[in-house]
Amino acid sequence: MFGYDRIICMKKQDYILAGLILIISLALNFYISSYANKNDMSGNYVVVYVDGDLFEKIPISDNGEHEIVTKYGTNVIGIYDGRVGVTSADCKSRDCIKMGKISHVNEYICCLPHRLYIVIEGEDVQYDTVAY
Amino acid sequence: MKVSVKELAVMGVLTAAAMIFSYVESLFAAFIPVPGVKLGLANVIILLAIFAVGEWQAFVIGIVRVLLSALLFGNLMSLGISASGFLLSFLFMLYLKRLGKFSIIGISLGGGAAHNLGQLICVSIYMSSFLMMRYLFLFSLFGVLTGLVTGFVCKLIYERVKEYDWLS
Repeated sequence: MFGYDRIICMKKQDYILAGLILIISLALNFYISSYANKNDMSGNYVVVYVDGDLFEKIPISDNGEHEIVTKYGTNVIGIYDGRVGVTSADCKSRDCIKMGKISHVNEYICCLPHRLYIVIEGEDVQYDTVAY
Repeated sequence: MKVSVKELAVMGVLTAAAMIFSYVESLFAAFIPVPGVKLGLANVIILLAIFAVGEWQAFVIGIVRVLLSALLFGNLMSLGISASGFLLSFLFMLYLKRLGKFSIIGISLGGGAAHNLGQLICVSIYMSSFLMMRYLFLFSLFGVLTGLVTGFVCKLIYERVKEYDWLS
């Protein structure tokens, strides 16, 4: 193609840099995931954290809609046959609804405007949140 | 430190351009299927300023852009997230530039990945949870890809304006 080399003229170092970034982040990602996925059974509880503190713990068998009302706003969590998702929220972005449904231990949905996140936890899960 | 009128004007114009770029990309963010992924077109201006104008001028442009867009479109939370992303990516891009081994595209993709890492760290602190880090690889992959695109755009612009004397 005409002038192709002149336009895309990445140096060899650029490819190495991109590869290094991806490899390091993949390795860190595996490390973090293995740390978080100590037991990958289907979860027992849907746990809602607000401001990093435990807010509500709902058994995953409890089908139906649950309203989470905090001082930041309202989110409605739908639990249907082990699949958990946010069905409505009164924030602007609604990214938490777009995050879809979760069904495995340690999967989570977060809602930044309301400072909450929803995570499925097993009965005897070992890790806890890391406080900064 | 003396700042000439032309220098001040150039910094103002570039800040305005960065603001416009971040507004324009928020318009077509709806067409990208993954929520929250943005192209980072404002980084084109920051990178251009690092190379064509100067390093501290680029830093001022970036900080002013972050503050202004938080004031106009965001809140305190989005200010923290975008500021942490900008700071980490700026420092990393400056480091890569001073190493002197990488082209503009390489510096841009490093900056993109660092930007996403900074935002992820800020969200983790904000949520007091380490769980968000599980998307680290996805975030740096998107950072590298968007950094490639913005670096390519920046290179095209830089080749056309590098003859121009920005400062005197």
